Amino acid sequence: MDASSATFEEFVLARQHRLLSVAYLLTRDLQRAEDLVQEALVKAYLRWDRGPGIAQPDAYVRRIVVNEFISGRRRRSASEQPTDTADLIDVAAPSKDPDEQLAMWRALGVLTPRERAVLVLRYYEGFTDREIADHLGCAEGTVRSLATRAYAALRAQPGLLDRAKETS
Amino acid sequence: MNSLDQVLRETLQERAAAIPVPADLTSRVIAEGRRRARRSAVALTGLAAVAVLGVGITAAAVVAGGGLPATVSPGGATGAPAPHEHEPLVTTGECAGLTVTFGDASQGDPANPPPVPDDVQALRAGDGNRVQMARQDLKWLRASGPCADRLILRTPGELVFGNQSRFADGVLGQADRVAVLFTNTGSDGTDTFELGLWAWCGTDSDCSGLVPLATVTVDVIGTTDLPSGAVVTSTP
Repeated sequence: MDASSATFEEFVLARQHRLLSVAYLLTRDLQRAEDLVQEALVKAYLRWDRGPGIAQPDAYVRRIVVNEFISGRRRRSASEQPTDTADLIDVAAPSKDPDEQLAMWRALGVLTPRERAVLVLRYYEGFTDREIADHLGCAEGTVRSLATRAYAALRAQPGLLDRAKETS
Repeated sequence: MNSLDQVLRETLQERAAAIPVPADLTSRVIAEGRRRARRSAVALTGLAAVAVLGVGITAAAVVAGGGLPATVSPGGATGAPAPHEHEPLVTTGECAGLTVTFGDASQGDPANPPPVPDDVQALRAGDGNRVQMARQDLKWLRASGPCADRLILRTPGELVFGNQSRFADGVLGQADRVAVLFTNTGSDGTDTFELGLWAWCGTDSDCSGLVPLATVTVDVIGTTDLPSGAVVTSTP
């Protein structure tokens, strides 16, 4: 294996879990998450040792994952119904409060892809609205609007426990 | 932080922590990347052959006819280079400097492109671009500069077609991308194609988030005894 491949391999090994995590939180399906990440990494590989290369490979791959998820969902069906976890390849998650987190996980399934992407980037990646806007290719105001709608949708879910709806 | 935020954060973190990582992801990615790189090289060889064929046909026409056929221009148009030649399509924002040029098949060998072809001109933002093609013609669109990898080609009409929606990656190196535009019609007419940017759009995506940058009117005139080089851009 040449030096550029070794460098790329190191990048994948170091970042694959984080990238898979983002993809899984978006898709809620482990197989789809792997497909998204693999596709994004292949695109990164093809650019890795060409010209100036990729300045921020982590952001580059994550951006592809997020936008492929959003555009892929749009392409599949505009009338696609929110799904429960039953038909997805799920992972078992240890939890401090299994019922509460299961309710939240299911509630996340009713969000639109862009709404879910905003919440995942904000609460899992810890991104600012500006950074989220950069990933989604939209304005910061759009990010805030999507977040507001996502919160409203989550609060409207009957399965979400009361404690999660409280504000302090 | 309210409780909703807290439960949301905990849920995402704990779900993510439980994800297994496939042991062979790296090798799968590299194998697929190498396969696509080989496939891309084969495809580009084919495209280059088409371009070379176009040059050969033109050369034969020149020999048989004793000279280059006259260029057919639409009314009021001129094939002379415009003063804004090779000015960027985008002049502000993160994509400032993105340039798209339009040229003949004779300029289209992606393996050995001339640095600044004389008869290739830049397209500009808006709907003021007008170009000419023959009925069985082939021309190249070449994108360079920032955001070239986000450039999308749309050919919604019936006379002008593109070889792909995305500009091909890796044709001319990191900063340059190429798309092929061709006509396949038995009669003259007018059609359009569009160039736009999309935040990120996979090769099979519907690209419905496309933001158009330029709409180009194509006058399809005459038979294919040339690449004419008659690229006409109207004044603002």
